[in-house]
Amino acid sequence: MGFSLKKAFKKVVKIHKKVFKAVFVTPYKKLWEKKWVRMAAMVGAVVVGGMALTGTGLFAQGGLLASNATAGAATTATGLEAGGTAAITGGSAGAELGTAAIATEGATTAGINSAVTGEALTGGNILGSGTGVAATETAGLNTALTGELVGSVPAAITPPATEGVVGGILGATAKYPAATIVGGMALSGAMQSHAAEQARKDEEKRLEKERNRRTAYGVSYDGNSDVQLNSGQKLQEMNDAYFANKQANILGQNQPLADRSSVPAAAPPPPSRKRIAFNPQTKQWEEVA
Amino acid sequence: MEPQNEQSQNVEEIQANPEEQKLYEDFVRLAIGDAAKDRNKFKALMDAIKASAKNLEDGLARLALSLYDNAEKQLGPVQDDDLTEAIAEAIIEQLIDYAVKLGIVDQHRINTDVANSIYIRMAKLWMEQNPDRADPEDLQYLEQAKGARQNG
Repeated sequence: MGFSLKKAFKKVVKIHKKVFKAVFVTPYKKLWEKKWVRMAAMVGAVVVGGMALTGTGLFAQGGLLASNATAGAATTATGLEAGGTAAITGGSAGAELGTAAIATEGATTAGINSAVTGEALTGGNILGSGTGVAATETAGLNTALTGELVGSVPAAITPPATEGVVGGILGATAKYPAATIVGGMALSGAMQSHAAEQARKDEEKRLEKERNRRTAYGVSYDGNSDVQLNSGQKLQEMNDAYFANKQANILGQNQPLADRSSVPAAAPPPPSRKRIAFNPQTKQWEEVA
Repeated sequence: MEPQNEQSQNVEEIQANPEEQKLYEDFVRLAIGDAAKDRNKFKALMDAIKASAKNLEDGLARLALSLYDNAEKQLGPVQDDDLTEAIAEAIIEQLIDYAVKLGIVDQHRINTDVANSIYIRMAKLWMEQNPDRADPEDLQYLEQAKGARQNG
């Protein structure tokens, strides 16, 4: 024999536990307190969660999520209904969105944190954009704590994008399937909006790139492909020609200097300063040549 | 978030005898304790834990199982369910501790549900890999759950 989860599956209430002296001391020993009862809630709900999540291919996560829904349900009288409903309908909502990316992190996070499974999945759907986790956690926490009736109205009227996610959260906290699905739809809207926004940004980037390409290397903004040299380049070319000819002259080739008429003439030298000196005979300062 | 029947559990603790205690210590040391003594092994373990950051529970469950399997290969199969459970708990605890110290998970996020889900995942993986050793009732429950998932 080895591992067994029978105690959890059977929801055994009387446990005979063999105690060993720990080899290592960690602060996490207490995590195992009442382990089998906790696990019974988690494993026992696998069937329910699994059914709710059929089609999404999320066995492990489904089990976890559903189990957390059950666990969350136990805190308050309304929690049971809220959590359970959320587990099932949330699963449907997640499936309805049709994204295969119901992945690991969102689902797991929600599973850890609390009761709402569907929103975990929904959160998982938008994980790609990096907004899923927080939404999931919040949604889960809200429901787990209160199981309150917030829902379809805020979710339905909430505009897309970020606020759509908020709508999703609110929907997630609802008791009723419709509200949860509406929440899911709000999220879906958010996803669509996100996609549109992304497309707009991509187009902007493309245009910017095109503009940069066309203006590089002296090509003008208006798309004219004639290369217009700027003044710096012109001056450089003229100087090169001038010095090439000057060198030829030095070498005795007697070629005329390059025409520098277009080069601005050098400014006239500043007027020479007068020189004065002290004349010991006159004992005065006088101008000298 | 406590289950309704939380209070109804009745745990009767029985102290392991010295032989069982020694076996437990040998397993835990071999599974995870020795890694700390070998620089390369320890680095490999830390890398594996870091790689679990994206999906902590699944990653740590798989890592815990591989450490457990490795110890079993050297010391022989564990026959006692309680011993298996205790070894698995010790390995998971230690991995969680490392994960927190590595900063890949916040300590406040660690709760009983995290630990239990790692344990459940580890146990399920073990059952899938060792159907001949697994309890038939466990397999039956898992099959039922799987069937419900496919049909529902």
